[in-house]
Amino acid sequence: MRRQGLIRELGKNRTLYLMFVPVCLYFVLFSYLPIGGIVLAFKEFNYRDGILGSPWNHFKNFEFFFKSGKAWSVTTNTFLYNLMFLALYTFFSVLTAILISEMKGKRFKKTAQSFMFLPYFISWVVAASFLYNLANYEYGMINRLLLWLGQKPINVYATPRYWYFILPFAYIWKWIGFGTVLYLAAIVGIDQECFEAATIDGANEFQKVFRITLPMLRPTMAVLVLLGLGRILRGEFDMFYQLIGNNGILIEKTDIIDTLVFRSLLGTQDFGMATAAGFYQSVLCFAIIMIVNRVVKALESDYALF
Amino acid sequence: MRHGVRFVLAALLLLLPLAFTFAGGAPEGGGTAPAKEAKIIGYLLGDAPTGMPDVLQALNARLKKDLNVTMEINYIGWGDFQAKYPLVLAAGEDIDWIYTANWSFYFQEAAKGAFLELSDSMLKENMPLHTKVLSAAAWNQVKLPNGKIYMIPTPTPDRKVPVAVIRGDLRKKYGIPPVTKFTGIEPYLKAIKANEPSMIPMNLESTYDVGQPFSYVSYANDPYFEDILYSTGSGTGLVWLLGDKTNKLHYMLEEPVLSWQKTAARTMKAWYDAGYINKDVFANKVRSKDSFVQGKSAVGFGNSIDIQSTIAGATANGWEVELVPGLDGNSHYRADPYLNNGVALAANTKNAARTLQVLDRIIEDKSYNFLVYFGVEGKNYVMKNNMIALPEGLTADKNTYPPDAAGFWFTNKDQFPPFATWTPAYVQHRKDIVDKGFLVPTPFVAFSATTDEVKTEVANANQTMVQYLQPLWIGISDNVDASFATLDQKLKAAGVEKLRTTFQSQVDEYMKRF
Amino acid sequence: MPSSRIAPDKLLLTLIAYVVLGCIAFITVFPFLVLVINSFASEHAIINYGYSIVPRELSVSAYELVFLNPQKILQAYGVTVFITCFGTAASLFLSSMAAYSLSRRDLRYRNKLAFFIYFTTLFNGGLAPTYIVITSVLHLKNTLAVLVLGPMFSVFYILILRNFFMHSIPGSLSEAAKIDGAGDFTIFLRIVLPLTAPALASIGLFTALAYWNDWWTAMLYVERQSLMPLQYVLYKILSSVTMAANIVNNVATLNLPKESLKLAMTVISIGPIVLAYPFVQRFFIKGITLGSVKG
Repeated sequence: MRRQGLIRELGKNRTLYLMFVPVCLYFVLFSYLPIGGIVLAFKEFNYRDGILGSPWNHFKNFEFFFKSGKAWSVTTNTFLYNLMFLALYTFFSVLTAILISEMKGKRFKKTAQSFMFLPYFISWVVAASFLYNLANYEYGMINRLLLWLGQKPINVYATPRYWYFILPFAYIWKWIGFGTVLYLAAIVGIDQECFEAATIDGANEFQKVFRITLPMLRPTMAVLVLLGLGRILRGEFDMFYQLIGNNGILIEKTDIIDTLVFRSLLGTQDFGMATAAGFYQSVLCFAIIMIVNRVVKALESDYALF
Repeated sequence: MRHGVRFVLAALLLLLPLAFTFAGGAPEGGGTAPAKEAKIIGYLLGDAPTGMPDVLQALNARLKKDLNVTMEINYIGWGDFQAKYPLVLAAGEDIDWIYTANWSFYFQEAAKGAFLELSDSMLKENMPLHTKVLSAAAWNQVKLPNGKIYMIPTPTPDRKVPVAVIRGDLRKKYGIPPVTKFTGIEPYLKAIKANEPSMIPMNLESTYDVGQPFSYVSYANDPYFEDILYSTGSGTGLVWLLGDKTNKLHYMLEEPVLSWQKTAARTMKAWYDAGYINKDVFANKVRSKDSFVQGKSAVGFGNSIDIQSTIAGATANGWEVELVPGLDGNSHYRADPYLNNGVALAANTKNAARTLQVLDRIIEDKSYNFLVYFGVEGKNYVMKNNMIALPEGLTADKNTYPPDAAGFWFTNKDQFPPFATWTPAYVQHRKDIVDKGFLVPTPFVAFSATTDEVKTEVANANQTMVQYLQPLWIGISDNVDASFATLDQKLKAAGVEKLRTTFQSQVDEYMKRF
Repeated sequence: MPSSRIAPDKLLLTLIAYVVLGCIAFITVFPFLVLVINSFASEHAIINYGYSIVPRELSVSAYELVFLNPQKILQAYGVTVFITCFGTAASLFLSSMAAYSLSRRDLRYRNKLAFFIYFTTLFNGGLAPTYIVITSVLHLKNTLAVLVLGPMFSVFYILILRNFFMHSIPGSLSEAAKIDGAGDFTIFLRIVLPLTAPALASIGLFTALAYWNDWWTAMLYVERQSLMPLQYVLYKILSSVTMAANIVNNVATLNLPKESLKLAMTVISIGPIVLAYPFVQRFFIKGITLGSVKG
């Protein structure tokens, strides 16, 4: 019975399924073929035996992470930082998208929007250099300004609490161009008639924003937030590594899974351990997104990812 | 039940990669006359210098004539080094030989089976020149615990010691007596701090410099000591002492090493608090020796080999450069092993014999050696007064094939004459290394630990060291004693005791060879 | 009275917009300006004084170093432009095609298909197995194909496009077209694509930027000089200058710009793309694409 249904469905919508084939083929080749490599997380890999033949070592590759004494703290750090980044990113992107779409002044709008994209092109290596030149104790711009004002210089790199601000700030700085564009595209797609009707009913601009624009942005917000949650345990490694690096003073408060694993495995060249750490992150992300998606699906099935 | 289907599908997909078995290639029969043309592909570290195509052309012209071989060379850039080196070997495709060294994953990759085993007969037959030059001691260093050899070592390990440079002109200007030992550098630092507000006495960087001054001070009055996993880039807290015949591994947080470390830490803290060190070492990416040349740092750290360009640069600015070697209490430093530059053959190579023959010539035949190292004579270098010099009209930065840039560091460097650009102070330093016997050989430098059984402890010890020891290296610590106590506690929690017993037994076993 | 008199609430909103956007624009452009200015500063000035708004010493040696071999840079630009244009076009078309299938509520297995591709973002085999598949199994090393295929599809972008298709196209349109006898593909091509121009423009922009900035694919899979894209060539210039000086006895690295080189590279790699952006911007101005949605 099921089989017949499958064939019938494929026949009925064959064009649509065919339209999906190129993408499907791509992921089979580039993602599913190598996916067998995940078994390396449970093996002691060597070239002679290859991926299939190398001996199993069960959970040995996971030991280093769970015995580090930091497993819990880096997991919560990764989760909380990413959650904060996601929340702030969504907030600011929606804010700037709405402001850009509402305000008058075409040239200002366009320029502002273009500027917001510039940080994307600045690699974290260069951004870290910029931060160093801004914040270093001896001749950084901030401290030069403070000295000129007669104040004492501050040591940014030795004070963990500054970084609770610096890190989200850096993250937003880098990605705000992207988020704004996406929400803008969604806003542009809203039927103008709704706004016109609201104006006739006497609504002011703020009411229009809160009663029409924001609700119409819900689907886009939903998909972006869900996608963000599906990556919630994968840290922005580049950012953390370039800005903080091996700074033992800051590491306690800013260590994430990716940086801990990187420091632990430096010089070891062990594929198994690296894969194991990635697997841990994958499992947690999987669990989280499955739950969240299920909940969203029950509330508003159109917003769910799958 | 949807999930059931999904999991079955997933399981099926896991079986897809059936193609991933690596069969070792059978090596070519050795030593016969080259009848068929062979293409040999090699990998070096760094980036191809712009003049590489010309050199390669000249090289291939000769190789074709002598051995009927064409060579192709690929580079693994420094930025990709960690990621790409094992990948290239894992794929095992299109690769005959690759640069390797003890610090370039020789032991790790050999253990994984990436390299071809080199038997005595293979070596004698195909590398007559090289096997004649190398001593048994050299081959002894290259052997893995199972007695097999997977690398061709360099015949000339680097002769280098850590060396710091200071501004002789500033020292004299402020009337500071000469600095012979690094521990005597404080008056100089004080003078710089007081009189040169735009300079930073020691402007340290986050990866190399970070441990240097601490290191220099910690063994200044005692034997040199080094972490057992130093050459792989990891830290464990277990060190060996130079000249210690008992081969004992000491735990750095126990006597006698602990006091040496504490003295160094206290010194660094004093210097940090006094402002002799930049406050944000971990964020600084500019090496002190570059900072030195630009006039920002009053001290530059490097080693006998790489400090040469710093000296040349500073001298060109009109300053006087003085060298302060980082030697231990007996004026010694450990000699580099034969493993610090070398070549290995890929396990899957189909041209083993021919590759060995090519390498033999490159390493030991003077005309080949000069070609790959210095480039084309007349174009990239000339011989002037029996020294290597640049041709008339060519400046160093326009040279398309600078020495060392091509990555052939494993050739026989004893065949090279001095460089015309060496300053008298530098020439003297090189002489001192030999004449004053700075370098003391020790079997420890070629030892490589087998870490399979203890990889958890190694990983955790390493990240602990980075987090808790490095701040002590640069003097950021409110209380030196407390910080060391914390480090001790964390290392013990990471399993350093297990590392000690495991590695000690491996060391004892290894030492039987000597 | 001029009809363009602005209502007070609109005025307030615009004022808020100016302040907020002004701040954000400043924060995002300021570092960039500093970087551009200091890419023309001498290495000596940067190391001694840090980044300055007005550099004390000017020098073009960083740019000289990059363009030492202009042919190499031009060739790299050519490679990058090609893979960006071709890759973006192919990616956008094929991704939106797939996203459209996923957006059709009457497609029974669409959620399973969505999960099928989404799963790849959760679990992946790791660098080594991927490397082995691409080099040993698919033999894509040193080909133009790997540079185009590598970054081609992103599950995120496909799902975002699906989202736009689901919520911006009234079902009534497709129904009407079907009644007129149009096939799914025709509906996709003639109705859906034109209506979702803003979404396509934004994803197209992101894809183009990803291609433009990609050096990772080249780093892993390309060794042939003629196939190296711009970012990778720049990256190699930087790493050879930075790293070689640390390891080897190389007198040639005497006064080579390293810090200013990093900055020059950023400037060079942005160049053309910044020109392309205004072109895409017009899609985000309200009112252009609407009007056809009625009925």
